[in-house]
Amino acid sequence: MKILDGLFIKNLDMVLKGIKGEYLSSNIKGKSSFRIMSYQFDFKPFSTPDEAIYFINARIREILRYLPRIVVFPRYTANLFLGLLPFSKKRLHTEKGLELSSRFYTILKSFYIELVNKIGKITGVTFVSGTVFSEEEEIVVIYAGDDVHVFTNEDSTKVVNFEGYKLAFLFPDETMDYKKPRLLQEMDVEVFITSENWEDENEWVMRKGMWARSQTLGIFGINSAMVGNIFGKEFFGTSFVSAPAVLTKNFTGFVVKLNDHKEKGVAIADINMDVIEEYSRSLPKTYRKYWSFTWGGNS
Amino acid sequence: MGPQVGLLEFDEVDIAISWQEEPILKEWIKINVIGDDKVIDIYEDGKVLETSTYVFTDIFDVRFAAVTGYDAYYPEFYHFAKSKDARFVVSYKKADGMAGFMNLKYQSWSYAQEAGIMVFSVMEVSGKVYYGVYAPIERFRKKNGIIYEGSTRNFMEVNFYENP
Repeated sequence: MKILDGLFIKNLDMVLKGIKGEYLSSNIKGKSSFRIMSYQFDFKPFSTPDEAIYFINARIREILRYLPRIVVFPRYTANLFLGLLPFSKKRLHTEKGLELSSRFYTILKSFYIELVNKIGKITGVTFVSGTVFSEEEEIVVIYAGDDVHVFTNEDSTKVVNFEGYKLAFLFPDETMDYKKPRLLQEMDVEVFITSENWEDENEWVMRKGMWARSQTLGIFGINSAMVGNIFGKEFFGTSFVSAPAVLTKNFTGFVVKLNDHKEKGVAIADINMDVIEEYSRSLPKTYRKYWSFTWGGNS
Repeated sequence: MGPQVGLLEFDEVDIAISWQEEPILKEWIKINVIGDDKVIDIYEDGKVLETSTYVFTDIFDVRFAAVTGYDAYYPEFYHFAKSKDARFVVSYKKADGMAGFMNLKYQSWSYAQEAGIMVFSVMEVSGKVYYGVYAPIERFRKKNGIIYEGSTRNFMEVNFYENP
């Protein structure tokens, strides 16, 4: 793992030296309308440090070109770097890949937090990156307001402030019903981010998570998907930004959505926080009468 | 040749669901659920059994819930109904225009998926009544969770004993 700690980071520093990101944050802060970039990656672990550096560099240049305020990378992104270990690349497409990920989890985690910190500082945007995935734990790293926040799947809430708003990360199982998002809505969270992918190619199955929560709770949702063969299983997904149907073009409930369930890409959307706040205000909070049922068992 | 259609005649109807201004009120129907966006009337054997914004009723040992008003818009109610052993929920909502209509349809579909319960949605959109029937994807052959959507009345047979 020396290659990650030493050579890779050193090379990355050299490559990133010429990129200036300061103008980006000063240009776009302080507006209620802002841009989101949600990536969809194909799980192809890096074979060489050069390949990894090229990948990171290309993403940073895209971010600086499109000037978003939130960028999202999917879960398993950090696991792509396990391909730099000798003889590991093929094993990442078998069940043994998960064992490998667990064995190098601590090193991978610290390396990836440092990497996110660097990308966040360079681009100056709120950068949400899932995640280091192992048998024991999964993490998400969020760079916001010059700080790096690290959350695991054990944390009950994963909320950060960004430019006057609140943003929450939900692990996929937390998007499957109203409970966690509703709790966070009560804490004035405006934007919800997740990284869902599915073993089923059926698009209706893919709609059961964040998209459905946007329709029933009236929230902005962002999904960033990792697709392809991950640890021996085939995953499908689609990166999107969702909102209540009434706020979206053609009333699909998607502000933007990638159509391909198997290929890499990036979904870019502009959203307006005033619009979602107004929509939210139009709905009375009568659901609070069910709180004893929701949080205290049957009433 | 287009798709083949088989018509089945029902000589008995256990439960009829309709909107207040277009009621199906036949004496030979055991339970009539008639509602709008404000109130629901439940008729049993032609007589009013209950009038409320939400109702739990049993028919042949199958419990169901009917809901209107703001409660019908929040997922909390559908989970609550499921916890009370309801096998399905009848919801009444009103909207203006296509955008509002799509919102209602997506919401009803989503409630069925997250609470794992069948939802019979009766929607009045710009003066016209629409029906939507949604079920959890896992329990439905077609794998999209949509059993019926349309503005015409539809007969269907559901076995709640085999599909709890």
